[in-house]
Amino acid sequence: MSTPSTRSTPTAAGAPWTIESAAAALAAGETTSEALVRAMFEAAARLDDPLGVYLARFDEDALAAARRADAERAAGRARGPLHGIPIGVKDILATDEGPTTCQSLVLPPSWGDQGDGPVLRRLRDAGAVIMGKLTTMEFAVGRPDRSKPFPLPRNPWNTDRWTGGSSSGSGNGVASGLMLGALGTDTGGSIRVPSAYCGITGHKPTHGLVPKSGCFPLGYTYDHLGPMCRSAWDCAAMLSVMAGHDPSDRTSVPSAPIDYVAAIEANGGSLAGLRIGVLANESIKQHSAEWTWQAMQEALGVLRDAGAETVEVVAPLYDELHVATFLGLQAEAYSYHRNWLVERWADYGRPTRLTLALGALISGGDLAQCERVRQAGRQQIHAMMEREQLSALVSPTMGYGATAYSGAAREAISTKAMHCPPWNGTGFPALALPMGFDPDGLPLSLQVIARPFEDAVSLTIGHALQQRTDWHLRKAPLHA
Amino acid sequence: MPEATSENLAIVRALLDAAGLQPPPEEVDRLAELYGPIRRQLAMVHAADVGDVDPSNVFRAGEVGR
Repeated sequence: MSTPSTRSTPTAAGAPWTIESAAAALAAGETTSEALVRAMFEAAARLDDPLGVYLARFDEDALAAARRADAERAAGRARGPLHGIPIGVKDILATDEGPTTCQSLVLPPSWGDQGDGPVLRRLRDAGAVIMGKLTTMEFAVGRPDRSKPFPLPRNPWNTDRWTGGSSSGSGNGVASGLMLGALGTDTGGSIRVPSAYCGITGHKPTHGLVPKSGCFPLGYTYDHLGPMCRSAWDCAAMLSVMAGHDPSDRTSVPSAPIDYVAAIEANGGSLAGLRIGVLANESIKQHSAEWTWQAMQEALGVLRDAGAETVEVVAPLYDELHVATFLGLQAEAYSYHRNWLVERWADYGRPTRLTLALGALISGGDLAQCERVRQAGRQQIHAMMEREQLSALVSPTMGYGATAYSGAAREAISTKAMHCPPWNGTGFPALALPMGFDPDGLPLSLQVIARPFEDAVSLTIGHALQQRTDWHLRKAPLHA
Repeated sequence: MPEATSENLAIVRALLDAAGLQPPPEEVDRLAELYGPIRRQLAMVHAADVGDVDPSNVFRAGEVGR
């Protein structure tokens, strides 16, 4: 095995826009929202075809919203860091502007007529500009399917590679600079996998922190909405707006508003007093490349330099949670799709219908036991964090860099190389952020998991790492 | 690629039939290939020491929302 390499990776010179830098430039009058939106749509005209980012663009509505944002700012009514910021939306969320397809021929067009859910409304109220709807896997499940009439999402670091899914267009859209932030959803890793593969930062919040009404369900009790951006700071800015109770979602938890930007800046980047558990479960090590593990060790060194203490721990019921999450979400997804599968089997893409049909092979007793494993795993991991006085846990997000569309190594495409699903099963918050590159120049990602409703801890650790490294500011070869 | 045993193929055909699903034969074969690994995963889930713990999706009669 070779050591981590930065071969073929550009420097951070000419750093790309972040929400943080764009908000500062807008506040200083150095640019306008209209100029940002126009430039990003012009870049999309060049890059969307090779990358497969958009399913629908809202050019006219977005430019009108940008001009309104500029006028409000000129009148002294700037609403905060998202004011005038271009944001994309995964196409399993309904929006006021237009159709929702879930990248499927099966979904009735009328499903999207409900328009904005609470998170979309909150983002607009904060001044965000909605750019359009972004590619996904069909119904946020399965794998890319060339047989259906939808774009194939490609990785801006290497277009022969997959973006990861299912928030594919959110991942490659932010990574290629076609927007500054995006809404993603995560049922077994669908925010964190494309964030890892595309070299950006994505946050799966604590289950119940962000209401998910207006989002097409995959696994009812595993689904999460979250931000995908360049940096932890940017994710904190989006989460501050997105989080909070809404009665339209029965799983939404009443909680006091939190300014996550203020929270991550509170200690000036110091992690003194934080004790971080490094997950040393054998299955995580077995299903991660040596260079991934070494990149994580280097990131841990940076966190220790920032004042954190690190200690190796083994998470109880980790492997059981991994499989229980996949099986449970398949059963839940099947319950929604069963009638459509009976009537319209051939209209689904092959990877999608096979994944959904697996739910028919799982018994009621199997599903109940998966739910018991979730509860036991949640209790036992939380107890371990209490006992070891851990504020957070870390692991690689993915064991390998982005997989090739053809000829991918078997170990790289194994679901066991995904180190995300247990945190959907437990509902704990988990941040994915860049930590280096593999020997092929593809991004590698660190996952930072915190206790429930301590999302600010994950974001604080991510922010501290990004204040000391520039992995998150590297530009992909295909970039605006 | 794992091979579908004749026993798993028969089980999968029966389960799909009971569910009202009628995939083409090659897709039934693929699901039968996946069935063995799924049963092994479920065996791991059933073997987990979870004591008397309740399922995570608790039902509350007073919740009458969506």
